[in-house]
Amino acid sequence: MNNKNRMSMKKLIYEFEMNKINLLHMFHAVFFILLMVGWQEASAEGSGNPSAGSHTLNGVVRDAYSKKPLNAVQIKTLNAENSAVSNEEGQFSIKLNSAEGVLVAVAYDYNIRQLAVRGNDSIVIDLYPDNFSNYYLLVEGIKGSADNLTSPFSLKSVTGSNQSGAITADNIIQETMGGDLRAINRSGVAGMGASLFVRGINTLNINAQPLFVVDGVIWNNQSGQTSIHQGYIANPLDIIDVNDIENITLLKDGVSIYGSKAANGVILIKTKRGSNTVTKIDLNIVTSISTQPKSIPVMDATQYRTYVSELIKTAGLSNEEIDQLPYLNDNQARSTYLTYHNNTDWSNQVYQTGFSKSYSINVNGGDEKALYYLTLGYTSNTGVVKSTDMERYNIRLNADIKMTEKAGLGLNVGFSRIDRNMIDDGVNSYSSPTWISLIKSPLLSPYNYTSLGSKTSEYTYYDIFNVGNPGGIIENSNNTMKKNSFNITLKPTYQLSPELLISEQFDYSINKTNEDYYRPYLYAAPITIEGIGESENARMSQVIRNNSIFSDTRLSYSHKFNTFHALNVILGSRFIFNSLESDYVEGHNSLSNSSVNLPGSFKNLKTDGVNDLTKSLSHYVNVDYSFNNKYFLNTAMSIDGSSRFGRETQDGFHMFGHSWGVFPSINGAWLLSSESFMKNAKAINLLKLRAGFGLTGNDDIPNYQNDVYFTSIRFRDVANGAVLVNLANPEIQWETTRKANLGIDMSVLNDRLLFNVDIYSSLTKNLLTKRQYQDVAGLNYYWSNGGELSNNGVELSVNAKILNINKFGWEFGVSAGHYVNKITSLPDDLYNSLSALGVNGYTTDVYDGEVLTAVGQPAGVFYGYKTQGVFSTREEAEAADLKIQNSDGTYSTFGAGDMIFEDVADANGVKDGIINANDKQIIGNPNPDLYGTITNKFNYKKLTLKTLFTYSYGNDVYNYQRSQLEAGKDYSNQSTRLNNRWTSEGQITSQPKAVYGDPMGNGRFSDRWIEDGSYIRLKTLSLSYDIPFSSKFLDHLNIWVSANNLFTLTNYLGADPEFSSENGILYQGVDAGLLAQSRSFSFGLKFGL
Amino acid sequence: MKRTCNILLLMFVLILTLFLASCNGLLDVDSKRLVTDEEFGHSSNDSLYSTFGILSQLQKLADSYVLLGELRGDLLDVTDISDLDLKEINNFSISSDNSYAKINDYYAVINNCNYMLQNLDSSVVNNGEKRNLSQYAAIKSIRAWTYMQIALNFKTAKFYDKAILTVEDSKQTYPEYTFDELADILISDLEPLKDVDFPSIGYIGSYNTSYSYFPIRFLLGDLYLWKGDYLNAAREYYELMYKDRLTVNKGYTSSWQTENNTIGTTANLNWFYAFIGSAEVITTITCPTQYGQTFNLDSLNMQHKIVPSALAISNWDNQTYFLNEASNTQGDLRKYGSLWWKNEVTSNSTKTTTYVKGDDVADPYYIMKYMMYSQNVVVYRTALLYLRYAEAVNRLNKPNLAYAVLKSGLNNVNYYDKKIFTQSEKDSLSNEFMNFADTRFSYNTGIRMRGLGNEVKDTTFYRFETQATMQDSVLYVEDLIQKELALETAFEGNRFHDLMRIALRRIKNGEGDASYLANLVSAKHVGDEAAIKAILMNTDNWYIKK
Repeated sequence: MNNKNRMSMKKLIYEFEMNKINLLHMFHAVFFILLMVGWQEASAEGSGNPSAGSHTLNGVVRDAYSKKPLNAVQIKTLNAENSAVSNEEGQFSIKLNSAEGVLVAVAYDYNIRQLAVRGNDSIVIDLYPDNFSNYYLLVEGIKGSADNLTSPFSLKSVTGSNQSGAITADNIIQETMGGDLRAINRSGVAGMGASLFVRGINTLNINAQPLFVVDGVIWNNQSGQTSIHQGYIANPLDIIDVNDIENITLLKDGVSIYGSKAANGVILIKTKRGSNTVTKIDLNIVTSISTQPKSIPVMDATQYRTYVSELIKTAGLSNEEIDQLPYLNDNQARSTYLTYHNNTDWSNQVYQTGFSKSYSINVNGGDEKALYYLTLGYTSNTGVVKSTDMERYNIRLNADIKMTEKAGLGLNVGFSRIDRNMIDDGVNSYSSPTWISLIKSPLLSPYNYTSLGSKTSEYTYYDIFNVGNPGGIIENSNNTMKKNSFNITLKPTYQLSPELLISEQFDYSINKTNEDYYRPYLYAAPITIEGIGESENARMSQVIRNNSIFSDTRLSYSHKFNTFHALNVILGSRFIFNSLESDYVEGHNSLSNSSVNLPGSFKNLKTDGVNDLTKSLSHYVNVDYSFNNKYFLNTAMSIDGSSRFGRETQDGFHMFGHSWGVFPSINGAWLLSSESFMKNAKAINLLKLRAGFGLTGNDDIPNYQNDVYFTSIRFRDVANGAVLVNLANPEIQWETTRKANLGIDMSVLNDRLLFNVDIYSSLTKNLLTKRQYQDVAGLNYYWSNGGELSNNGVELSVNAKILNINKFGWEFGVSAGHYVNKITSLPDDLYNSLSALGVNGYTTDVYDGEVLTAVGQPAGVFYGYKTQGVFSTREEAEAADLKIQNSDGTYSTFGAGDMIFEDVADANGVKDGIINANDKQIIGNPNPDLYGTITNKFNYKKLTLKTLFTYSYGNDVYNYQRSQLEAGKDYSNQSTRLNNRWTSEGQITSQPKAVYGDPMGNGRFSDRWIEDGSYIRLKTLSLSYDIPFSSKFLDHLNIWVSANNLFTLTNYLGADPEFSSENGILYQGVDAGLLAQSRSFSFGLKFGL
Repeated sequence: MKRTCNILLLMFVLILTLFLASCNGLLDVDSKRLVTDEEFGHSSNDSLYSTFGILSQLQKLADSYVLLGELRGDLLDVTDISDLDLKEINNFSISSDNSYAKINDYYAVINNCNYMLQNLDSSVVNNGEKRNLSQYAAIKSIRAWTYMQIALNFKTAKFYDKAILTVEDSKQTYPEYTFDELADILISDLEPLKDVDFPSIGYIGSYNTSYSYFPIRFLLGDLYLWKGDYLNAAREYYELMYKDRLTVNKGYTSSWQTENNTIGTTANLNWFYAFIGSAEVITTITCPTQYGQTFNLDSLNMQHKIVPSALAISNWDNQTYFLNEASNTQGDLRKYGSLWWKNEVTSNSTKTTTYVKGDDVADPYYIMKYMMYSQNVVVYRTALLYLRYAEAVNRLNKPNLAYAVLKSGLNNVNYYDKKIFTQSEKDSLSNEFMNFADTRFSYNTGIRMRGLGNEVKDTTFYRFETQATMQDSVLYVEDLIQKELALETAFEGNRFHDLMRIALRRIKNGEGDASYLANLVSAKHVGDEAAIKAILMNTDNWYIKK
């Protein structure tokens, strides 16, 4: 953005701030004026019909390939004021109010096409078969469905379809919106969903996921909800059956109607509703199988034995002691020989072929009085990790009841239940079987031997290396999650007058999640826990209840003046109440796999929980104005209050003892292609310019920050004490994101080629950051607003109908997103500030690594040591003379076989020869340069072949998993890459020597573990066939097969370059070893009855 | 139709107005789990919760109290395997992130105390009677002790007596006082409360909560002693001894068994029972390690990351155990209550531990005191009280009385012994702080008698002969007290500040300079004496840089 623009934006903001005090009053005034207008209109019974068309247009409709005329095509103007039907020669004649309107052509088996008249007297409309994807759609917006063409927003809308075995909406979002938002599948566990980032990163420490609005109701996205199952992330979208989704719309702009909740973009999901009085029944059947995922290759028994015998010499054991170790003693007469002389591939204990099936039946119908949509769905998945599975039942009823001519009632009732059997996932040496299968010594056997030397089917207990038995853990664990969700929405509407509609949407929802966890005795190794000692087995249980009330009262006014002016105004007030209660209990050491009752059997009981109430209230106004369907303007504003906001915020204004944030936005579009002066630009079919500017916010600040509060502690087992833990911060407020957008939608070559380009720039202020308290507070840090970050980027999508020949079509699409994220300022009093090292920022510990948050850098960069290989000889090491300081204050010198860490010169250019915190540098950036999708669609008659590639380019990954498998510091099994470790003087290698305990820190967080995470993946390949059918019972039948994740091109050494281990921004790009996505193959049938 | 419209519109406006008008309550939320200011602190139950909350915060200071007090002194030392944090303390190079020198933790205690005091204050007024006064005094005592620790360790303390409850408050500038300035405030704060009894909450499990408070007279005595107001110090210490019947009880004597009036090879060790749950324990900081609370002293000791210095050991070894002129032996039996080593041969009967003389040359030693503490750090006990009393009366020109604390004991028999309680030291004021005629003092014994045999008879090895001038006598006895503190209260956390107090006093009186402390402490740093002495010659380095 250039300076001038920035200036004018500043001015706008300034003026806005000057006036904000008066805004609420204005709001009230406007409200009443509009009410009066509405009243007047309502009183004046029936205004006159618009005058008959002033412009007559003759045209012809043809098939785009054969150029044959098409009969019975419905032609209408964009607002359906006038219409016509083509005759057998494809000819039609229509009267238009304006010579600059847009014609809509609708024909069976063909895509809808919209074409500007541009003052022409005649027009030729070529239609494409409906196998092609279509830009001219109705999109779901703030005020309901609207024509994509007339929307001034930067948005992407898709209709739900499932030909990939997708289980949740996130999958569809990823498959269809690749370049419009960055969607990263969390893991290979079914239904875990994806982390979604719209237009860069708009926060550092709080929720970065978009707002989900489902059927008009704002959902709690549960981003802060933690599970007791490692590697599991709650996905709010998993309760919706993908077959129930009518469409999904992504709003990328500053859509201020959602005010303090919209900084991360908004995703509107609309579920299907009854549309026709003709009863239709659809039946969907999908089955899939999934293969074992890839994992990092680990050593076999021979390699491992060499490794471990080498390592053990560095652990200070004498040769005699080493000889007595059962796994190194080859005397077959010893009783332990069989136990320690195997070559086990532990992954066999863990993985199986996954299997999914999904059935859904939905009925759509009704009568004059009521339309309904009823669905029943069942999905089940058997995971690729043994014993894991998922089952989902869902029921939904959406009904629209016409009570009187003017009064209506919308009713949505949804229920879903998800049952999961789970197991800890990710790097965890005690309870994650997938991880244990990598690190467990291959010398051991999964099963016990009898004294006579024959193998039994009894699982062995945890081993001499303190590593459990993955098979035994799987068999004896009992880890479940049950999630019940129910919601009911009532939406009464009343048409006060043709222009004025009043509506209230009320929603009540309950989400309850019960989690149970059991880590078995003896099969899992004991964990040393501070305050408990050895935890031999443990049980945890958690119940989370989330109740929400949502209410949205709206008054809508729409009016058309003088033929060309259309005005739509919405005034509304929205209230959200959310109650989150979680109760957690854990216990240890029942010392039996059969006594698993928490009270009684377990000791060291510990309880925890939260009880957070949140309320937010928003008053909003949305004004849409268009002139002659050429100029479109949307302005919106919301005034938001929340129980989370402090009472004395810096921004916004104060009223009723609370602080209120004000969020205005303006978006405009100019449909250039409708202008008469474009008459001769025949090659251009569509040209639309869009511009938008708005303020949005993020209200996901911690609860109760504006109050002083105490927390209860346990004192000497039996007494309770209260400790002051939070000081009131009445200034705490929302983060403010200012968004600006410029976009072009352009279609050329008779709509064969469509481009959408958006350039955006956003600035987030008042970032929530951790601050250092003054010593007198007696506390460490508090949350406060301060700091700014910017995102500048571009989104591009191209869609081409490459071939459209007789019954054969080829469509190609590519989408790409690019952003530059930069932290532009941070407050001075940061907690854990690195200012002593000359860095304006702080670091956060993330999986044994460090993530830097610093001015001038993007969010989430990795901060550690740079390496320059391995010292191959003693001379080389002595010449370098690099040291570390030990925890006892002494120094140790790096020797041959140790890593060479870069010694960074200080401000005076002096290298101190000591490798310490001063030598940390930025070693990687998890933000991609480019991400998106590439799609191809081939169709021949009723046969369709689709490919979908997803890609990410230029993102760095911290391979935490590999850092644990290549550390060479303990007896756990290691990656085969460690076979190249340094073992002898003069050896040139990239892997340092293996030393027990890694005293020199060769495995520390360094660029050894940072990799290029770029990839391109054939996400979906699908083939579907619409069986032409015409029977009394069957309306249509579609049959399809698809393959997911067939191949991935990447240099990444980990199992899968696509993962998102946690929701937080600072955790992106960290491979915590969650279950990799594997290949899956699906088969589906869709019956229409 | 029109009517319906109007009604509906009216309703709509009404609803909206209601929404707006009730905004105030509409956005207020509360939590069942967290307790806010408005809801908390006003009932007597709440003050109990507050008290336990404060004790849990006080626990964070326990490790620091001992390690900062001892590692900077001459008796406790680090080893090669000690963590850098410990080595930093030992070398007077404490960095800002040293986990045992976090000033935040001290202010956490202060602020929680302030909050509770504030609420107790208001409830006292509300009820028109001093119902909560005992709790009030208890919390004031904890706060005063904590403030003393801040000023002693960090040179100055920021003073505030209103709880900091908002971020804004925390950013204010608070007056910063040196120890002497602070002492005046604390003295006027505590004086009115010195006769208030502490609350009796009783036992929590096996823990006696009455040990959790710092007797106000002890604190006042300390404050006066630091300020140089010896008369008031002596009065407060004495009053505490008198009122609480605190004695150095001869029952806790460790002694060699005798045969035919000669020292045998077996000793009965009783002395260390004085500091576990005995009547001699006055104040402890209790340090449970469950529920996320930490206490490191035990493991540091067991891992040999803190060990007794050679100096500490030779202090005991160089004493003479006296049975009679003919039968005496080297060594103070208090060593065997202060230290423990793996080869030690002891056996326990119900009340007595028996030790058989053997090879005690074991390196390194464990610190027996810390093992006896069992998750309680003893801050105040009677022996320390008597030694502080001795320090005060000595400075009131009563060196013989002070010496009697060490050697003969202040009991009702000795009171009439003119050699011990010399007539010249009994003056018009003496009744106020040196009347030990009461039978409550009958068990009092000389502090040394509990480890060094029949001291009262010893005229050879341990003697005090009046010096040329009173000042010389006072300095002589003060040195004896300082040495006795090392024998009696080694490793308990007060060593560095005791040396500092004496050294500062001598500097102030023109009786010496920083070398008094510098020489004593640097002697521990064998091979590095000069460097450590150089650091300690600057009294600024006696404090931790903030």
